[in-house]
Amino acid sequence: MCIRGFLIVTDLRIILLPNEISGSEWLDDQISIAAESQDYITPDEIVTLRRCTVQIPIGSIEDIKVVAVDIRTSNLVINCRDGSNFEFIVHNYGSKIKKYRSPVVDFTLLHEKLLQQAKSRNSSYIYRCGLATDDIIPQVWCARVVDYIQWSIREDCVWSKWLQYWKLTMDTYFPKSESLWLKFSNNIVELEREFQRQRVQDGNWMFSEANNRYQICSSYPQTLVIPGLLVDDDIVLASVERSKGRVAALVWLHPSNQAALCRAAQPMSGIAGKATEADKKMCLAIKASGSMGKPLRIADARPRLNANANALQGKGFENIAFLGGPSVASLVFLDIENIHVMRSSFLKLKEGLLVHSPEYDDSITSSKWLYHISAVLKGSVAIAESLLMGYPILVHCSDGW
Amino acid sequence: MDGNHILFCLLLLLLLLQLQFLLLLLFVVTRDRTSQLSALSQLLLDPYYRTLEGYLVLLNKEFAAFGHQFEERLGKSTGKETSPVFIQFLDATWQLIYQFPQEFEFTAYLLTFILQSSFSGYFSTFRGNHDMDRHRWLRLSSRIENIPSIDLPYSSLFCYLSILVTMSPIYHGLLINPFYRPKMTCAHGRICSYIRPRCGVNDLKLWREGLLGFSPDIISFIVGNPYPSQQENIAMTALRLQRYVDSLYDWIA
Repeated sequence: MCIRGFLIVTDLRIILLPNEISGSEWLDDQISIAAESQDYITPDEIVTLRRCTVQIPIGSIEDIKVVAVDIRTSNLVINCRDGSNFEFIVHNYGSKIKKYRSPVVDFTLLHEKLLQQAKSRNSSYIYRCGLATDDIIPQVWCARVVDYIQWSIREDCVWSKWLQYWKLTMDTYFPKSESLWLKFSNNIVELEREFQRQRVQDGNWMFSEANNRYQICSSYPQTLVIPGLLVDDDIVLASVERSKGRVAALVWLHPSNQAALCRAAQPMSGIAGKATEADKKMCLAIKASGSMGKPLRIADARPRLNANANALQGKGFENIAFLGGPSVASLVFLDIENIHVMRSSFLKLKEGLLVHSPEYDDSITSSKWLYHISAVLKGSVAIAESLLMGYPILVHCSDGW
Repeated sequence: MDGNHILFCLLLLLLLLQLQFLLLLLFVVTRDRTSQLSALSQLLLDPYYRTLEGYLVLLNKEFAAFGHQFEERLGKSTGKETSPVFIQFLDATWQLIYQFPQEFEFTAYLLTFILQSSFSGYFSTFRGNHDMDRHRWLRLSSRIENIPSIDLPYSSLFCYLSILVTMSPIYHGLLINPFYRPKMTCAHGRICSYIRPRCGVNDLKLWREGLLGFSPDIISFIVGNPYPSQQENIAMTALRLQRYVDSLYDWIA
């Protein structure tokens, strides 16, 4: 994939403006855009008038590296945090851009070799471009851009500029859309609407005011739905027993058998498995709300070893005997690995795919990425089938995030 | 050896064991699974969440409202807690779309869109780790940037998407799945329709567009409605094609 154009940094993104007509490398009007940008940061408004093929939001850039290949050419690689990478072969025409109105670009064997190497890396796209500034050396361009990116992310400029441009577009192109943007504007209203769609109040559930000023848990929403058998004070007591105050809250109710899906964090039970009456009352209330009278199934997403290790820290997992035995509740460990394993799996997958083509299964299988997806899907299927059969479910991992 | 010595040795042993486990603990904290698991189970059971609006509501509920550590996971702070948990959830949704092409109102383009938006820094939805954080940050930013609070909803990704789909036929075509068959609803409007995916490793496919990054087919996704005069033409063409797809379904029924 080889597209020729100019690389421009705006206040929101890095974009590649392609040459529109093949045959001549640089068009007059593109040169004038390059000359106009006295400051290498161009306001985004100017460039949106043109078609762009590549856009890299500034917020997602992880690093930019420049390697000089020869006196006129450099290899510029941009790595993004979401896994994408972009590679540009930059030709330095320097500050005398206007002199090269219709240049004959002679690509030596070296340039073709770079292109071939890049084509073998299927995940990267190669672009041939110039820089829309007067900087002669791409290394200088790169250093300035990296500084700009770090500053703009730190000062939240990206977000506020985006908001400005978005509002401008809305006012210009969609002037009658005020009613549309009110949706999702207020999470309290949105969550209430969602729980009313689920008709939770027809069943044995009710809205709780216990967290409406984030009193019991700062990381939970203000709208909480709790079993109808309990009152707000019970929730306050039960929240002490769960890691970070993340008490059991309803997320979904089955329409016919009223089996509830609740989420929580791990209980502070410790190695001795101590439990309190408040937490037990909560669990029993969740169990009682199901119309088929089936026992509560507690799904712990961790491997059992991790749960035991957490127990040594004073947290852990539920004590089934204390809750009333297997006729009241049961516990299952879903054996899903932790976030650090995920990160190394993702990095390995990216690395493997950069070197080989995706047809090589080795890189994919050795990173075990699909294995982890499979584990998560299996866990969800287990939860879904339990809900179908009428078992209320309580899901937690360690901090219940 | 007297009793004190034995007691001392036992305590030392216990201490050593605890130390070992504590070292293990540094690497064994499993977070973020609750959001993934509960969101995926709801997706498998409730057909409302398989519509575009429903999916955004689900994401809003499970990740934005109930909390997901976006600041750490997306690598905005130190980088030690960076983890592709959100990416994994979107990948799992993609596997479901791939296995059940008629069940979802939205296309895989939506997932790539959400993935790239989460990293871009444009939307307040992915700022902060939970609602309280987000509100505080928005209030502070609006004071500093002098933005009236009435403008702040624009910064939600879900709001942006719902407007795009409604107002732009180009995005409607990209985001809405023409093969979607809505489920029949019953009297009180809610049904449970279970889809059971094949979960074995060999049944899953690699999500190329999402994991391998940016595809040049994705057109300008930010500001601008560059072809306002062509909107109507595009809308008419899309309607004609949808009617054609519907007629094909009627023919094979």
